[in-house]
Amino acid sequence: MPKAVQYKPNSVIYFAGDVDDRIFLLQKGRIALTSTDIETGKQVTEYIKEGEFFGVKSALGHNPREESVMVITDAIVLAFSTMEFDAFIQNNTRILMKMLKVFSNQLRHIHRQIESLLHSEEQTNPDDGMFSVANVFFASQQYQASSQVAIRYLKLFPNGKHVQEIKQIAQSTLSSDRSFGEHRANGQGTTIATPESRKAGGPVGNDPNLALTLAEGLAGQNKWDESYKQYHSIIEIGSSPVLGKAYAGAGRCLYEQEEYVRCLQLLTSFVSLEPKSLQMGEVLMYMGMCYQKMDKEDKAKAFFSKGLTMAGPLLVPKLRELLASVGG
Amino acid sequence: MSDVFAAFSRFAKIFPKGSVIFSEFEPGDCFYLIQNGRVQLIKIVNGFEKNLDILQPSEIFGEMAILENSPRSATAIAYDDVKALEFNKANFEQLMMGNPAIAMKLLKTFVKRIYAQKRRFMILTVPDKLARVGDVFLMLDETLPNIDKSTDSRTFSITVDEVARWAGLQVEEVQDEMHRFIDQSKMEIFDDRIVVKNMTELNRYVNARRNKDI
Repeated sequence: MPKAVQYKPNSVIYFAGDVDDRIFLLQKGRIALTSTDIETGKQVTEYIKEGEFFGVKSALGHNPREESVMVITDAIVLAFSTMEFDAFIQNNTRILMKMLKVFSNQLRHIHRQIESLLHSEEQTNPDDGMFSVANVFFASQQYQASSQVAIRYLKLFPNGKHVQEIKQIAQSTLSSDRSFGEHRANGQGTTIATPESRKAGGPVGNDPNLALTLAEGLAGQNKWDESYKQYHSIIEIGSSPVLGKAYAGAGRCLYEQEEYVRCLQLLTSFVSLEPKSLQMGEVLMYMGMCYQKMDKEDKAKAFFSKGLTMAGPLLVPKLRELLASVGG
Repeated sequence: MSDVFAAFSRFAKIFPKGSVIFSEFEPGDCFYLIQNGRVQLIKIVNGFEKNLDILQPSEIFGEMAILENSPRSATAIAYDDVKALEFNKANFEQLMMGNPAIAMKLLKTFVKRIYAQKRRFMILTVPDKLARVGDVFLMLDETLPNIDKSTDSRTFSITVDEVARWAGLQVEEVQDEMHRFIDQSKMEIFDDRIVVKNMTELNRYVNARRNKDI
């Protein structure tokens, strides 16, 4: 159990520099904490409110006290050992959360102080920063890390300053399965890229996730033909977790290019391949849309209705609209 | 890891060896507690990778992102096959309330980082450049584990570039200051290490030159 200790005015609970693992809770009275500001060297005084802890950081970190604690009016203080504090705080999660927030704020504050002292000039913007990360990993032959950073870049900045260079990094790193930390062991740094994958705009090797990112980016720019190539490269790999998305995306590209028959052929093959795909609602929707364009409204209606039963909540309104447009 | 975390298995993520957990400069909205495997933290400094740390199971990283979507200050890469619990702003409070053991661990992580950062900050506030460079070695002596402290002499595997980064000075400036130490036979500099001849003396020298306006 924590010990209650009474202090008279002007007594000192501890001095800066003391080493002591106790943690204190001010129960009653008024006390002042005096410390020296690192930056200015000036004395800073803070007052603790009744019900607040002090001495927590130095005790938990086993560091010398940073402040001296002076009693101002008659005070009662609870002194916890670190074990008692552990037990107490774990049963008082609300206080623990509050402390977490206070400490997290202190950490951020000191980070900012350091940053402002170090580079008052300019901050690297994230676009340039991530590009340099991918670049440096690439230069040091950490291809897997480089390509993963490149993929993250493309997701974050689909229209970023370095998209072209990043795509090149991604493409030429994909066919290498060399991973972080291994290059030193196995020596020579051959940057492997198949001639096909090097072609600008060509399918990007065998990473379905990257291809999907690229495909979605291209579709976002209405570059249906190029987007289709990326989606198709995923389909060619065969089984992958993003196969459904690739079929739905490729179907959309064909639809947008008014290639209704090819679209139907492609998506029909997918329906028999993965009838329970999460993308089935979308796939059926594009099939219906193709039939609609081909003036086969009955067929379209059937596909929209079936699609509705399999669609996720985001797709439902669109499918309802489509169904209504064919008189369903 | 202990069973304490079993209830959180649905927040567990697997990162295969060599994969990027997050990239420097990426906006961060989650932090991680390592369950299995090690995680390497890398920062790109002047176009080179700098290994900041290799974290062990039960360590926490990415914690700056808890309250703020600030960009990541380093890249985290799975050094082995890594299993880590992923926490984000949405589940954070609930998870912490439900599991004070994790919250306590996080609290202690914060304490450790606050002290490390404060010590670093202290270096940057030493006005005299020579003393500031000296303070980098005091800090390393205080914080690095596994340093041979059997005599007054200390060997640090560090380069002038790294000293410059800790001191917040240009490499050329640090070279000049280091040469003053070398001329006074207080230090020796090698390609891969720097030797401080007498740590006690350096300590006295630096502490007499700290910023004090009291």
